Amino acid sequence: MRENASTPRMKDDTEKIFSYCIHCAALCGVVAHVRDGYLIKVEGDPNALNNAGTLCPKALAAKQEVYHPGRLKFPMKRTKPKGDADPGWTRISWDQALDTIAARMKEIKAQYGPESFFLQKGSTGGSAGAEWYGFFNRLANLYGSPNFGGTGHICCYSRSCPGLPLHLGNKRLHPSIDYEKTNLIFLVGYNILHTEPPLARKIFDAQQRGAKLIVVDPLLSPTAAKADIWLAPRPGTDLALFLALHHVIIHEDLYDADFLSSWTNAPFLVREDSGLFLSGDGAPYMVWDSEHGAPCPADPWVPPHVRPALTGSYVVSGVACRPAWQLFSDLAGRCSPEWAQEITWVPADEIRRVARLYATTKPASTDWYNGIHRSSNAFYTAVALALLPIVTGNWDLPGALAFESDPPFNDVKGTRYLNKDWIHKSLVAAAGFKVRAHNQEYVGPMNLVADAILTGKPYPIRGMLSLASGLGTSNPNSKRMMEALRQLEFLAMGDIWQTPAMEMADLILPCATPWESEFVNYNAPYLMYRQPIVKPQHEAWPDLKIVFELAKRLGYAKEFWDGDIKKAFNYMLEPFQVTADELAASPRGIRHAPPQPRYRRYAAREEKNGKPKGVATPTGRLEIYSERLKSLGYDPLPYWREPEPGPFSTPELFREFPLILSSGFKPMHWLHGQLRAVPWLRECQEEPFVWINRRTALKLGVQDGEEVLVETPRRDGTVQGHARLKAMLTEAVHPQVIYIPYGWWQGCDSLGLNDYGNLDGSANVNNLYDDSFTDPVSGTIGMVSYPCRVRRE
Amino acid sequence: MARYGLAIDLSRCTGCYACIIACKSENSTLPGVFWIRIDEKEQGEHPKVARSYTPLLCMQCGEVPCAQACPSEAISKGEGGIIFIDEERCICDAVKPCIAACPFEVLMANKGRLSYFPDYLTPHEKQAYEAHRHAVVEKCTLCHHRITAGLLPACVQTCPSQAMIFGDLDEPQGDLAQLVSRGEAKPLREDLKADPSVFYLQRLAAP
Repeated sequence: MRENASTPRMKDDTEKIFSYCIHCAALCGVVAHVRDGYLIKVEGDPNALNNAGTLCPKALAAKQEVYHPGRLKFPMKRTKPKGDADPGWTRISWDQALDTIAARMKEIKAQYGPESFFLQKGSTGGSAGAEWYGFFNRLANLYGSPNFGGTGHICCYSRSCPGLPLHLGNKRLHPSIDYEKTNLIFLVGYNILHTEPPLARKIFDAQQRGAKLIVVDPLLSPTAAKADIWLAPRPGTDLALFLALHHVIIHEDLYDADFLSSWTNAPFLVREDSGLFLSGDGAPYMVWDSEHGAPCPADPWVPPHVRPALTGSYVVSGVACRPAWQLFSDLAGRCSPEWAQEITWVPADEIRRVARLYATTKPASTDWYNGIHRSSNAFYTAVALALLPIVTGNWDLPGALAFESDPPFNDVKGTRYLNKDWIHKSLVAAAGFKVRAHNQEYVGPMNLVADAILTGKPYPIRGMLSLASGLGTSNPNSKRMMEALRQLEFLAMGDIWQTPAMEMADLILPCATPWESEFVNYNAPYLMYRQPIVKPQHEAWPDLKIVFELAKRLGYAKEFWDGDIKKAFNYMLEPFQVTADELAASPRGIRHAPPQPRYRRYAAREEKNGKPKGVATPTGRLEIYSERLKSLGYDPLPYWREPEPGPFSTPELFREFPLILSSGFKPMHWLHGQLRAVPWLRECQEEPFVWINRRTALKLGVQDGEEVLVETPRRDGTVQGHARLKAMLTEAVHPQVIYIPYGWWQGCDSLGLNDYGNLDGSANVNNLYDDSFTDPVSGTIGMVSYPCRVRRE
Repeated sequence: MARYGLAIDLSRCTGCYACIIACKSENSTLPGVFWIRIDEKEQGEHPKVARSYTPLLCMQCGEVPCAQACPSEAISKGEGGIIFIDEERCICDAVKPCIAACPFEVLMANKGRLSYFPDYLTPHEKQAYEAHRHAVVEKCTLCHHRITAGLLPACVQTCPSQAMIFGDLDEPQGDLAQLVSRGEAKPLREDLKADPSVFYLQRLAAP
């Protein structure tokens, strides 16, 4: 039957438009049914390789998003001062709106310098997905501001934005796992069955053929509920768990010594005096050749007859040194399963069982997402996790952890327009995030922007253009963000809906939904021009058009292809030797074979010298020990550190606020803070909630469905904020943990549900966080192990 | 004669609601009316806790308990063993005996609001919503209009987990009939002996 569905027979005059959904990064192929210019329904495209005719709730509900009466309809300007209860929004034309934005951008640049203007973007799937960000970045670069960015620090920083370039050399590459080949799936903080809907069937197929699914998540997420083994650590302690897994793998000799010797920097000798690598004989690194009992230079490769020692202690030319692996083993050696059990609440036996299963099942795959990017120890947590596939040799093989690059479109970001000096003047670099600066990741955590606005340090931010972003709810410490936005000299915001932060805006712009915008992309097996399925409602514009029209007004028409979006698409498409018009003439898209995955790319030989290509890390090998981190002033190894705040790092806060607040996972039908106004989706989950363990609720006297207040402290112990939420009693969380989903601010008129606001008494969990507990490497904010108390009103 | 049915692999259901929204989109059911829903259950104590998701829809029972309860003969078995409700004959006022007679609670009467955005409908939405008469009982028809056009029911087509297997129980070699005859797929409530066309299975061992 499923095959029959690929040749739908329609008897009426419905036009079928082939497209893809950009509500998340998965890009599912869709067939949109349009009649008389109206969208009738959206279905999965059976010919799309990614989703094979399936489709998730977000795209299925497209019609109610497009034809929602509550959308922003016209550009509007404020006519009353900020702080006035009524902003006096007055309808203006797009010309007036864009002329105003361009004029203010020019003024601010002339008066304070271009870095004083922040260009802010939302998450993937905002008003028109992530596709147009490259052009927005281009605008920022031409304008001269290195301050462009969003929420990567609390989302995917150590996975793919940028990834772990110092350890894995995977800058801006996405993990890509062949689920048809893998025999073990190890997922951490990643509700993959809901957040990557097209992978759900592949993962179940893998389980059906015998692959084991292991999920690490403090919550019984829908994915954890399907796991063969679910490990539920205390929130923010995953790092201790991973170190204990390494402990077992090393202690029981389950690591891949050949792989470590050949392809990682595990055998490199580390000087005991400096913690830096020993160099010598004109080579940047040295190993100890255990075959000949002598040091041997590594460039970073060594001749085939050399057998590099992984363990031991050596003296070379009077310098005491040890192989990096020895140092890592020493660290892991201190982290026994019993030690980890105390910290993580995960039984030592379970840790042993998982370590053995993981290390002895080949190929094993490993992946992680934003569950681990919400803790003050996030960076090293990701490092310790990423070393598991390396240590066990489950790296860049079919069914193991592998990485893929984006399709080879020409890049439009125009980084060359930005003076290189500005990278170091970016807020991130100026605030001391040396690794981020080193990686040229100048995209900033938004709390730095709030700091810069409110304190003028490291320099003031005076103006902002924000597109497709719920600034008032999408970042920790919403209160502070709102206060910062109030202080801006100029704020323009574009979105589909009127969001809480727009209270502080001078101008608001109505943006098109994904279904009303255009772009070009590769959606296997088709290269496609994604035409607007229907014309934008009211006076909404696609974000891409806003960027192009603004660029023209700022004098960048030439660099923006004379303001012609089609020409820009043609530039992107050059590597495919096809034009946007040619693609548009083929409504199905042009078939283009998906790139064949290439594995063991590190082992391929350079043509010029026959040496392995290696990986794009500082040493050219996968890095167990990061000398670069050491020289930038950070720990070279993933030492255990408690999450901050946390019951052990800030016990004083837990005396008054004894429960642990965690937030993160979201179900499939929501995308971050979006879509709550869509009644079909909202009927499935009408109200925001707090998960409270049944036994804890009993002690608190809280009934299921009862409204409760959740309060949290600032760093100094005074109250940061409170949320009002319906209690959902569950055993999905530990008795000491409560869980609040993020992204709740919007009402749903159709169902009689009002907006919640975003500050005290609202449902916005991000109002409950002091944003000063940060990861010194990534800038990630401590959000999973936050002190709180729950009371009945 | 065909007898259309489903087998739902509960080990694949993640409770994502895609089936519910696909049904809404396909059938334009009224606000608050669902022809398919998901029953979510939690068992055990943290961390030894499990959660199950069970999609529930009209089981197209051969014994048709709802029809037996209907005083006006509005409910009948039609093509492919699908149970249909004739809206002209669905005339009970407040109390709907068919709803009470269904052991799976999957029949619902249209009530309340007649569309989601009453003042803001496309012409096609208006037409689609007007097809649902107030106070009439409705339920899943296995997307009869789709299967007669050679398509899968909307919920089956869209399920990201591919948890639902559609087929003809009268085709002995088909996947569905095979799963049923091997005893792998079973009625949700065997004790009721309702002769349903919808079956459930658990292909993967429960964790």
